[in-house]
Amino acid sequence: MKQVILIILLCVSTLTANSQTVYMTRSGQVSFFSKTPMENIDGTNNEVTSLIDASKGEIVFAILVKSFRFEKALMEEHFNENYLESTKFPKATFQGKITNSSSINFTKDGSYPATVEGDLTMHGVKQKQTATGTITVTNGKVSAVSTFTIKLADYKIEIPSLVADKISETIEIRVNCKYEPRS
Amino acid sequence: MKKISLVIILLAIVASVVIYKMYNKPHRDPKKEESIPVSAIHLFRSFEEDEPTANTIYLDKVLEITGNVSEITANQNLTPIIVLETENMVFGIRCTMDNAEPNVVVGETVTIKGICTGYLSDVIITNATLVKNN
Repeated sequence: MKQVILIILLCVSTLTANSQTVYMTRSGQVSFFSKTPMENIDGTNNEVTSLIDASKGEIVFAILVKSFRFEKALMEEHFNENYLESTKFPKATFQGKITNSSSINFTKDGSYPATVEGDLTMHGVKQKQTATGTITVTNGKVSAVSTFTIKLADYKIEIPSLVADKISETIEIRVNCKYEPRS
Repeated sequence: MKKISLVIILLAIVASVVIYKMYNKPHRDPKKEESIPVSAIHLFRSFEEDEPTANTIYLDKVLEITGNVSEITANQNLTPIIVLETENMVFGIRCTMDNAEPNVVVGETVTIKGICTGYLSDVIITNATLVKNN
């Protein structure tokens, strides 16, 4: 956790050196969907901090688990107390590399397919994660969208058998972040 | 016999009402909850110096934060965000507001009530409402 903040601070402090290569948002959006025939559950977080260092091809996300908002208060409560244990593990982070960053021109408008590889940490468990998505450059602004799935069991999140038919074993994560260049 | 089945039916009705109410229980309303008064500067310093301890005091609690408005912005859904000034040059207290366009200006001293969801370089407050402009 401390590392991510350090990285963010480092990036911010080195901004003056290469001001156009770092893109940041503090209000990015990450949602997750659990679909079963019994019930669909989705939660959205609008307070995601993320950084892209275009010159190094690095991408970082930091998320506060308690910032996810659900349609039903009960879902939010179960998500925080029973599954993600957000008091014990308040943050989720992703630290990774854009593996094809050389084919993305951050200075030219366009839509570029992107593959990201790195470490996703949530519920106190760190796992390798790969995701594909699209990076769009419009007038110097950058946006990133991606949809990928994770297995709850990989993050030691157990679903009690009583509600097993209401919660999917694989969860779909959707990322939608609009970045501003740091100047 | 009739009495017993009547009792069972009544119990079943009560049980379904209770389950339905629990399933649809309302979201937290920070306006109605008791709050911890704190200054923006003190709140930020607490998290900066010792995040785990600050989490035990503030995480998931309703806070009533007083500070100077340093920025008024919006998130990707165009929900207004008020940033309160701290001693840190870059980061502050970011409050995602519940209501429409808040009637504040940069530099004004305000008090904002909302749920503290933690520290991400900024301290994040959600479901926030403006309590008063000083």
